[in-house]
Amino acid sequence: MTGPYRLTLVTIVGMALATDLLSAAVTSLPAATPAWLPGYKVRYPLHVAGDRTKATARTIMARLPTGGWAREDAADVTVQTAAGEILPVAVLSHVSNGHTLIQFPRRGNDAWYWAYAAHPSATAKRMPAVHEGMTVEVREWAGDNFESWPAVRNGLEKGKVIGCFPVAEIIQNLNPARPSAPFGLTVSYRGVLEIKKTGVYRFFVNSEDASFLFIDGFKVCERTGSNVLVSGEVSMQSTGSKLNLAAGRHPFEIHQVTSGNPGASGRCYLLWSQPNTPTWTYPTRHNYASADYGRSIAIETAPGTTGAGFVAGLDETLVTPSGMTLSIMQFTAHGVNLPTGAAANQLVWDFGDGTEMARGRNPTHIYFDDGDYTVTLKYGDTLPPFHQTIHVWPAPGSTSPFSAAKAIDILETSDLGQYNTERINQLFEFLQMCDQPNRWTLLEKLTDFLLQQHDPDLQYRSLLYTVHIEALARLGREADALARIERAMPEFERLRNAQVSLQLTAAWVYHRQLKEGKKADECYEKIIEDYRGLEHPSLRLAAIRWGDLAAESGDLPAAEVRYRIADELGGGEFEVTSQAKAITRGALLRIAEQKLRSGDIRETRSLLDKIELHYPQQKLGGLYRFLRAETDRIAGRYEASLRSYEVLLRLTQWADFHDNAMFGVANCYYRLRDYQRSKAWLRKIKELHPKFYEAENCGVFANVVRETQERVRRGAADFTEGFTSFEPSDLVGESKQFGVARGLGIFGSHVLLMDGHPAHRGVLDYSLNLPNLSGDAWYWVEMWYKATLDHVHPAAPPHIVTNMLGSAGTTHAPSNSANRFDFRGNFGLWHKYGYLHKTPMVQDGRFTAKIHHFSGLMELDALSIQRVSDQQYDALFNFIEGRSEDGTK
Amino acid sequence: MKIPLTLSAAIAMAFLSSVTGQSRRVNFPPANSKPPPAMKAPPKTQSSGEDTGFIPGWGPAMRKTQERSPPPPTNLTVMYKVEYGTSLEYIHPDGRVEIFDQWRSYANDGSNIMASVNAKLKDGNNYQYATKPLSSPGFDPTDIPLLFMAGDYDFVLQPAEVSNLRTFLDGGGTILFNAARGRDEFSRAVVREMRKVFPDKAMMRLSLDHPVFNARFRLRKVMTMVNGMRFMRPPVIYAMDIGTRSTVILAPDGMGAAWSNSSYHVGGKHVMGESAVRLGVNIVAYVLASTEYGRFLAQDFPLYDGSTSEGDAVRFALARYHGSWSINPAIQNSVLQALSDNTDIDVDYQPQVVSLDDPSIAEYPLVFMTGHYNFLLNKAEIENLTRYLRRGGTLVVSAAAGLKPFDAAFRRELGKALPKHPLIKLPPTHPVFSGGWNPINEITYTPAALRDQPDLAFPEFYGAFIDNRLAIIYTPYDLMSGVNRESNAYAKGVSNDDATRIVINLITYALSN
Repeated sequence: MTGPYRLTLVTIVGMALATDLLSAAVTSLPAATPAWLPGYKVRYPLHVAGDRTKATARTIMARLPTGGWAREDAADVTVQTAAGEILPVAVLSHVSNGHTLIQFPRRGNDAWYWAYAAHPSATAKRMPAVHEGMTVEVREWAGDNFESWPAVRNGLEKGKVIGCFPVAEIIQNLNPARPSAPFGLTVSYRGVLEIKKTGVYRFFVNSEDASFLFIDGFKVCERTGSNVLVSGEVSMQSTGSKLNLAAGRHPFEIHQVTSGNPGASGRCYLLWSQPNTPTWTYPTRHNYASADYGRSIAIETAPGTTGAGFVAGLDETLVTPSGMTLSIMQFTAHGVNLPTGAAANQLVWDFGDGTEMARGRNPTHIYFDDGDYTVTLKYGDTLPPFHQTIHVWPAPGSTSPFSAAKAIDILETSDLGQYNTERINQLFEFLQMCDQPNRWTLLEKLTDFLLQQHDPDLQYRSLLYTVHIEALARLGREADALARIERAMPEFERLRNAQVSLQLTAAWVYHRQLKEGKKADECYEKIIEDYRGLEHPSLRLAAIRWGDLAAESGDLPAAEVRYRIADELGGGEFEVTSQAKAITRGALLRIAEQKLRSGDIRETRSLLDKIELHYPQQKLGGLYRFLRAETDRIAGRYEASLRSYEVLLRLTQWADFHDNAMFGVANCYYRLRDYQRSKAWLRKIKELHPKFYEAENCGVFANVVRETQERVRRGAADFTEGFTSFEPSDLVGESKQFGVARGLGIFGSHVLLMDGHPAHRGVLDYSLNLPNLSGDAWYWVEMWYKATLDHVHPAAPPHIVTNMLGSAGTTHAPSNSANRFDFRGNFGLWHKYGYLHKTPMVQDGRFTAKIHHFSGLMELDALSIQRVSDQQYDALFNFIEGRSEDGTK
Repeated sequence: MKIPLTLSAAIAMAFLSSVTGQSRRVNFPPANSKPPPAMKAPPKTQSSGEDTGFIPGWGPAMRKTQERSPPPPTNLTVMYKVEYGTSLEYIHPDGRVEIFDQWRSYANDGSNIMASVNAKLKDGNNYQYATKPLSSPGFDPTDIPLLFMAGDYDFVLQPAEVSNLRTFLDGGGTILFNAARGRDEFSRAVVREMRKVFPDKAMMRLSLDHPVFNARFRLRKVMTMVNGMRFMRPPVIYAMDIGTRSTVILAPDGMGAAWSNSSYHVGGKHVMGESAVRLGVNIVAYVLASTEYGRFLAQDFPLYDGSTSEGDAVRFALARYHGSWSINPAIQNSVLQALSDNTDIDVDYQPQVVSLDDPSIAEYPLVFMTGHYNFLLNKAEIENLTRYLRRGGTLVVSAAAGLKPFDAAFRRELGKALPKHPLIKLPPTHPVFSGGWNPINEITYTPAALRDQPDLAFPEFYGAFIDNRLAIIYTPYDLMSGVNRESNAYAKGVSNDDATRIVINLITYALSN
């Protein structure tokens, strides 16, 4: 699999059945734009959400990616209407390495406004306060204590603003600016309550540590000092404070301080009880006076000026067992007529972590530690570089089966010399763990590098050698690998364990890579002869492999002898009484079979590995071979699986397993795309085991095989991956509610937009026909999303449900792989949603995505659907579960 | 209808008028099973209303959890205690009426014995215990290795339960019956009810060399209590077998009191304390070790026919007699397949079985015989066998699983058939090993055989000669399960490939002489 992170914008192959989105639904920049305000270097076209004919708000809010271009106090930021009128602006919050939050008056039903920044001297006209809209501002806590409001106020004044976001409610599940470090921070909510009924209201700010609520300028309730979140049943009398409020608008502020306690969660909630209803609830969006919202949909630079901004999103965080994190960040540059192809070199990125610069429009970068990084993008000299502080953290979501391979591709281009030894060792561990086919080049490089360090630990060096040699062999350089073993041997003159490991690797090269059975046979025999007295498990392993060699060639008696020899080798850890052996072996077989049935492939395999090592003779048992073949097949190790099925089919005494084994063989060949053989085996089953053929619906499978083969012959490409970044040029799929709109996408300049502000939009759906699918296969679906002004009310959270179904007309039951993912509020940042789907046993399928209960603005981008091979699927879970790859090579 | 375990007398009396119809009266007091703990009153909810309110829940935090946990212990629910039978009613001398379910017998016996299994096997697996109604559907021996059915009274299995049990046992499962306090009323019911499950099988008493007495602990005598008297005596277990696997195990002496740490009822017959625990651990160990053998026996073996040539082809017959003569499924196919694969001899795959008293036995140059229990041949069988051997027939005999009762019985019965031709041990140099198809002198025995006799290395075969012709070839070790690759962990015999080699040698020798 090539690294999909550099996806070129491919249109999905075989999309003939897909109905393109109507081009009328694409919101592009207006044809007529106002003349540039003189002196300003950057402007942001703003598109106001919602039905403009029904607009009632008096003002519009917007969040501009000013990234260091605006003046330090944002005094230059101003707004212009389509007609050229300059509007007064209120700067609600400003982060110099980030965004600027502004508010300005509405002009009729205009949908378009232009915000300007980067003027060296202008001071724009300011708007007086309007009681509308809600924002949250995050600062670093710089105070001494939070025992009283004056102390907190003092701290707030000193604290640096690190994030600002428009919000629609006060349900904060994380610290928006630093999700992975939700401590030592303050959050300040500023908004307006829309009280509909005069009466006595009770308010309570549920959060950690200190919090203060002001309404109409009066401090209504406070919690000072250290506090914990309150949960469960609490007194209505002594919690929070009550207040008589008249119908109408009441501005309020909440300031909350979380101390430096690393256990803090970054949660903050406003609760209230309304007149005569003594229950705690969260005020809903109807209880706040909202402003309209204008999306910044592009970054434009003044004529004669070059410059580019960017958006960033966390693609994936991989955590190795020893705790190293590899966070893959995705960056996308936005600007006017950005160079493409080789010319994209003019875009120069500094990722802020001391690593080398990168170039291009869509770079990815690996960060090894959580935290804040100031990333700089330089394009030309006419504008200062754009910089923005990004936060790297393990964002929620499932891990993609492609991420490890992607990380390896990124790492391959980096210079190993820039990492310290600890990191190199961690990388070594990651590469050993991740079981990705593309790791061998890097692993070869890395082990070579580590071998040159001359670590005095010979045991460790021998491990490096075996990995290095395996890498060479896997890269097709078997001769080099064997020569390297010869050269390495003298180094381990006094370490016989290491000699065995090296010799075993040599035997493996002959056995599995070069497939020279005779040579491998000699190697194994020599190991066992030369080192017989050595008490080391790898000696046992040598005899087991030697037995495998015989078993695979059909010489079961020789295999039996060799497995028996294996049983006597390896030293003390394998010496148990025969009766204890019988019991534990039986139990392990039983547990392994149960685990296989429950679908726990990795656990099954680790049990089988244990059985193989401790009870080598079991390898000629029917049950063991059956379990081994099945787990290998499900894990995508078809060759190994076929070898086991073949041995099983030779065990005439286990005839009852033969029908299953033959089906397994047919299935393996189908997955190896050898349809001819698959069909031949299915015919054999039909002939020899008609009852099984009937009971297991082999006919359905046979049809799929035949149909797939037919399609391949017709040249209908097999669907393996599809990608759309919702650019007008690569639109696919169908949706009645979504529209494609200009936007600062994570890929490209358009997004799929669901416009639910201020009016709620309910259920929205998207679907895509997928012809020529692989039936009964895993597909990884991912897309990026960015929600602004969303509501994450815990009782009915907005969520997305994705599904892979058989297309209409197919009779097979739909797959049960529907996935639901709850949106948890992401404060207008790009996040990734990803999920593994299993397709039903059909050729033509359909992908559907439905979003429920959403209100606010949802932007979706970069939808990709990729087939995941069984091996990738297995490797993913090996990695997640922290198992090293299997020891059987 | 679910009936509470014990009820106080007053309630019971009030209750009785309505429930006596469903319970059967018994004359032996129930085991001291404790009543289930009283239902706890549901937590009182505070009066909702003015003073308090629930803080509504909040959504999940937005943190990625990719924490690795160490691999979970490998759990295996080994034993399921079976829920069966109607409820019983006992009137105490003081007039108190107790209604109870006999399947419960002693409380905690099952979970206690599993705790002991974990403590004694200590192999890193976590063995567990559960209960399950015998009438429930889906008895899969892959999921449920061992059923445990305890009781003190007569019981009758419903047709659905009988068929459940048959499927379960045929599929590789095992059931352990224990008369909780050693009451023969229960054991007799077991024998009667199991006849419904397997009409063709008989309960046999297991000899002390059976793996049930050796799987983990070597049990020769157990502490027993009968009518209040304690003494050591050999353990008593009866079993019904599939192959040589004991699939129905009946322990007529009560182990419930020992397993549940309860008092021993003086009217009962008990295996006591550690003895009972060890016996229990052994049974569980035996079941675990028989996993693969059970799966092997559960297969539907295809029927073979046809021969490799039109003309003369080798045939041999299995001897049928009143004993466990048919315990190696499809053995003839394995032997003939080996013969055909390794030699040029033509074979006829049609399986042949001949009764020892059937004169047509003379049609077969070779007859194979095996078994693992004591047996008796009747007069007709002995005469027919004698005639067959004297007229040139050859009998190849091995003791299945290498069990002693067959060895003793075979030597005894052979003494009747050929009183003047004693069995003589064949030297390893005898042409049957050193000549033939593939000369062999040292052979490998199975771990189970080596455990009893670690220095076994040569063929242990005996022969009876008639007119200098080897008419009987006998080994007290198991030859057939090796040829058949039965994966029986407890077969004391020759290991797989050597067994195949020896059998081929025996056949080629017998055919050429």
